[in-house]
Amino acid sequence: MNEEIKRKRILVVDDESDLTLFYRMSLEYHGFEVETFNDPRKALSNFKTDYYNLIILDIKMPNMDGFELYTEIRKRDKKANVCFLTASELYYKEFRMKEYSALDKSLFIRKPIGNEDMLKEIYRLIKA
Amino acid sequence: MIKESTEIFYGIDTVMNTVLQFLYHTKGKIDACVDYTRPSLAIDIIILKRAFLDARKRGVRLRYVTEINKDNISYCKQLMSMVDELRHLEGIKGNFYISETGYLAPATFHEAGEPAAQIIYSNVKELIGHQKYVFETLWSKTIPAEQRIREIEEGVEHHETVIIDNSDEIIREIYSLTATSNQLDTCLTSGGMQYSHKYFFDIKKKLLDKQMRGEHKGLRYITSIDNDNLDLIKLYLKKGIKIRHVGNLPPMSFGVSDKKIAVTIEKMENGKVVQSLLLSNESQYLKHFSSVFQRLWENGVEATERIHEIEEGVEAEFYNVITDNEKASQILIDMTKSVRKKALIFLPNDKALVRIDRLGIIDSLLRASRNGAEVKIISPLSEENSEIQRKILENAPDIRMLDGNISPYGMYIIDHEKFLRAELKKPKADKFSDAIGLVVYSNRRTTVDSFESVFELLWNERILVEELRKADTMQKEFISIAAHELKTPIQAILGMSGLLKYYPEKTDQVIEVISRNAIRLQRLSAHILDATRIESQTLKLEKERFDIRDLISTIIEDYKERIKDTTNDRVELIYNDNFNISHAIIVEADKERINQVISNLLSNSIQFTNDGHISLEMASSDQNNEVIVTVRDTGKGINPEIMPRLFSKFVTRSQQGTGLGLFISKNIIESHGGKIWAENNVLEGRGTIFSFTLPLASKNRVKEGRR
Repeated sequence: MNEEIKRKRILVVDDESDLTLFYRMSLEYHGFEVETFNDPRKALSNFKTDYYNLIILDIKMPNMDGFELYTEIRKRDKKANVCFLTASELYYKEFRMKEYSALDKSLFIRKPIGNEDMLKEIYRLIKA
Repeated sequence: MIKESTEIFYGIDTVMNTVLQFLYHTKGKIDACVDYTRPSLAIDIIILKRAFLDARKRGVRLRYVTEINKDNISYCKQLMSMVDELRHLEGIKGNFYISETGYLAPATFHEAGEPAAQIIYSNVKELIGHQKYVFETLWSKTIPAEQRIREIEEGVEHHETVIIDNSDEIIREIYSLTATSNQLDTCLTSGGMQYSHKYFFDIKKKLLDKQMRGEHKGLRYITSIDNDNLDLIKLYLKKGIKIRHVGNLPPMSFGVSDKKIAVTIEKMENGKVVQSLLLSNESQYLKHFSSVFQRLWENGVEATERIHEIEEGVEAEFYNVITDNEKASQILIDMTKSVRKKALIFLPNDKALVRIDRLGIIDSLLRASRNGAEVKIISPLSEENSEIQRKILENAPDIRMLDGNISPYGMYIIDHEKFLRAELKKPKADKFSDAIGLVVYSNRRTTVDSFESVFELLWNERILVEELRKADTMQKEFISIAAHELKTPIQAILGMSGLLKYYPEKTDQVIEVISRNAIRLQRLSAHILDATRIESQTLKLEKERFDIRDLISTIIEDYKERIKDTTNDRVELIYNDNFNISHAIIVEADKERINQVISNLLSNSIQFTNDGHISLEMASSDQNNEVIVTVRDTGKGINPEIMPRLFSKFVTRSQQGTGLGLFISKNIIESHGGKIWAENNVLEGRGTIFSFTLPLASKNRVKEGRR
């Protein structure tokens, strides 16, 4: 395992507790420091600026969707490296059409994704 | 007895001789009808002049008709002393002379001013008689030479067409046209009628007096008779003026006498003075306008008949082409103000809605709708007219409005009675009157009916499009929700199974997650399958007779366990019914499906209730022959916004739901002949109440069942 990557910090927000459990188990096994939240509002109130190497957001969530959360995070951390791991096809298209059209397509990871593939994406995003 | 014969003589000399013979030998009288070139010959050819003078001396009575003009005026003056009567007639082309015994006519065309090279002479009595009749007919249309000569000398322009703009001059000219007429036909707008009355009624009265004395052939009027000019029309009728009603008047007013025509070039409206007047005495114009008038007259309705219609309140059928855009605006305003039963509006583009709103038409429609009229609008909908859409929605929610395509015309159909169709000429114009081209306005039964059916066809087509659009959106939504719902447990299963090798010590925990998500997948696929069956109407019920109390007891036991797991005793599940323990409530239903419904209701309650209680109650009503099952909770309740759509597909109160549970429950209950409904628990201030009914199985069968 690369020492540098081992110390990387990842924040994951997904309303499905089974999925956050999976992300945590998978990423911790590969040496990442992982914080997970099921409630986006809690993720925001615990947010630490200039702290995470990568932030992974689900899109369809109660109380606050991934885009709203993204906007709030951007306000707090202009440089934050944010990507989306989502199962919502339409939301994705709508989102890209509207105000966030500048966001690169490569920032969207589609569920379902296997363990190895997900890690590849995460390494790619952290290096970028 | 002289033999009757008709002969043709050839050669200029022979022709001349024949004429001279005729003049020298005729007794009694000679009538001559000749073109404008002849008077000069009668004067310049000495022998011919002598023959005329000789005849006169013998006491022969000479009547001579020709066209007197500037060129032959001096000859005509001389001729006046050579003949008994010289008169003028416009445009004579042929020449003939006629006496009691003979008829003489040049048989070929000839060069102007030259004697003819051939001539017909006949003493056939019948021919003479016929030609005499022709002569008399022409004679009756002549005017005296003196008058004609005076006209020419005084510079009264004949054969002239002028346009005058000065309003005083216009009045003078119309007055003169009226005063000099022997016959007068006038076609006027309603406003023109008032103008005419104001300035020319006195002279008309004089003409009517002349008519009484047989000196005038009468006055005829064509106009559009309506409530506004009814009194005036009655007055004219009383005076003996003939009037007919034409609904679709020509765009200009005109008067045509036996001598002149006058045509308004701009409108006569509201008694205002015309802008300019075209005056002419050209025979072509006279003929044209006389025939226009005649055609209108023949198609017109007698004024008395029209007055009767108006007074009886029967509106005559009309089909009007309106070229005055301001008038068309006014008609549309009046039409929509009078809506009682139904207004069908078809608009050509999004801006049209804004234009008619400016005319106050939308307000009229809002009022009509609030008074119970049916209002349907097809209009292209856009940002451009969104404010008006909102205005309609907020003020008259019963007005139905569908999105339409762009069209080259707009249509307005009111109360099955009136129809207006306006071409769209300038789609971007702000004002209705600037935007429209040709307008057709009619109350003709067949027209209104056929356009109403055109509208209904368009309406149905729009509804279909709307439904397809909705279905399309629903399908997209379905795919989106189904995709999300399917992908989430799949992600958990896929991801967790990949972790098994990393965490051999946590296998149980990982497998539990996998198993939970597999169950979730199973439930979801069952839901999707059920929804699909409902949609395609292939949901089958396996009906059996059973005691619903037994079923509910089983479910309650099951859920008491589950509630402990999920809510940690913060929520209590209560079951209530007022029946004797032995009392069976028999229904004939699909047990599995009813179980599904009750479970769905309980699961929902558990999901949305954090503390308090969930109660299940049951009551039966023998009167209605049904059982009512109610699930009550103290949960977070239902947002009033989604309440009306609660049982629709894909409506969900939670992020976890498929939005299919209640949709499926509703269809299950309804296909059993029951009802299902929901309300917020107002009494307890929180939570919801879901109820459904099921019909009881018939009593006879119950007894049989127990045996």
